[in-house]
Amino acid sequence: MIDPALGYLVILDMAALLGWSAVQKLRARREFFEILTAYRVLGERWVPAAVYGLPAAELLVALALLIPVSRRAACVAAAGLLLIYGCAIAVNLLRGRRDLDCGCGLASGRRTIAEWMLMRNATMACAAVTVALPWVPRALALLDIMTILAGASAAALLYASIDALLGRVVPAAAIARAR
Amino acid sequence: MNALIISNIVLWFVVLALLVALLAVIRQLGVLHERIAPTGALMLAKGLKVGEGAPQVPVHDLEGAPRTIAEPSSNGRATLLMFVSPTCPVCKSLLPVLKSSLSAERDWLDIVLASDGDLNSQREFVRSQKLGGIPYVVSTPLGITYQVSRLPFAVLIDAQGILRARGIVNSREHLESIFEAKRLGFGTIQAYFESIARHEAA
Repeated sequence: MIDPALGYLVILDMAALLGWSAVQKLRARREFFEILTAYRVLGERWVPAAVYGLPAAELLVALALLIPVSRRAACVAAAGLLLIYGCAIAVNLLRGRRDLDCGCGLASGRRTIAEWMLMRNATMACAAVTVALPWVPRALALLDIMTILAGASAAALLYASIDALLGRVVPAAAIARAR
Repeated sequence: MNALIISNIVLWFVVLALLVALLAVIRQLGVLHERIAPTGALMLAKGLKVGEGAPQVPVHDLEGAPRTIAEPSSNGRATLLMFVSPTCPVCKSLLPVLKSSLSAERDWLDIVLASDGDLNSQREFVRSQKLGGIPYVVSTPLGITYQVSRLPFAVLIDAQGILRARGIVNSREHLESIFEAKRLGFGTIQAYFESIARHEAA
């Protein structure tokens, strides 16, 4: 049984992540098209459909997460999306294409795929599946609202920090050391 | 219970403030690393030898007037050959430094800007960066001869046509270090420090 405060915290962040990522993809459709083609996991015929299909799916899941009736299905779907992305990265890591742009932060510039992204996606998929479990039926108090809002903000900031640290600083430091 | 609630609120504020600070620090760290990435590698290991004659290369400037790079001259003036490009952001940030060096070192130094590629974009670059007074040559063989691997790249040639220093220049410090090396009689500032270290060890 999951406490609703914890459940809402995870769901809020998950919806924010998926919604944000969908908006990014739709705003940079050309770049997203090139990145999807470069991944070489979809046949070329399917790429144009996926350019709209993936962000649409993300938006749909993000909305469904916020609606109580569809919440459990949306949790599983969110985990599915994260695992699909993780698989696409893993396939290309196995192919040895380490210079591939992951397309994670279309706005924040190019970063290459890496193992830590698999860990990240797996962790978030686990969190999504966990909150699909039944919740404790209890009314939320005022203090719970604070826990949810502050906790969700803290988790989002932590996500951004880890992303910047592993995605930007660590590769740049490795390049500087190699010189 | 009240005390617990207040402590909880305070703790959340602290956690969020710390996370904002952490994110800011990490972002700064990223910016810092990107800035220092191609750091002061004044000399590249391979390439032309400092202290030997610099290869003479005939070039044309933007007006089409011919001149020869590294030609010995009798006026005793050295030439700083500065490789830049309209598409290189670091070059643009270095241009004001270059202009101030030009006036500070004008009693012994001439500066020649060198680039290659499309002539029209070069002219536009000269116009937008107000480089009118500085000779600007456009030549692909020049960059190949001097083994320019990254921009901005500086080559110092003295009046006798001898190569005095060459390397990547990203900042005022790098540029000054080339002049300093010339004054001290070393090809690079690193060579100067190495000789001091050897001297102290002996």
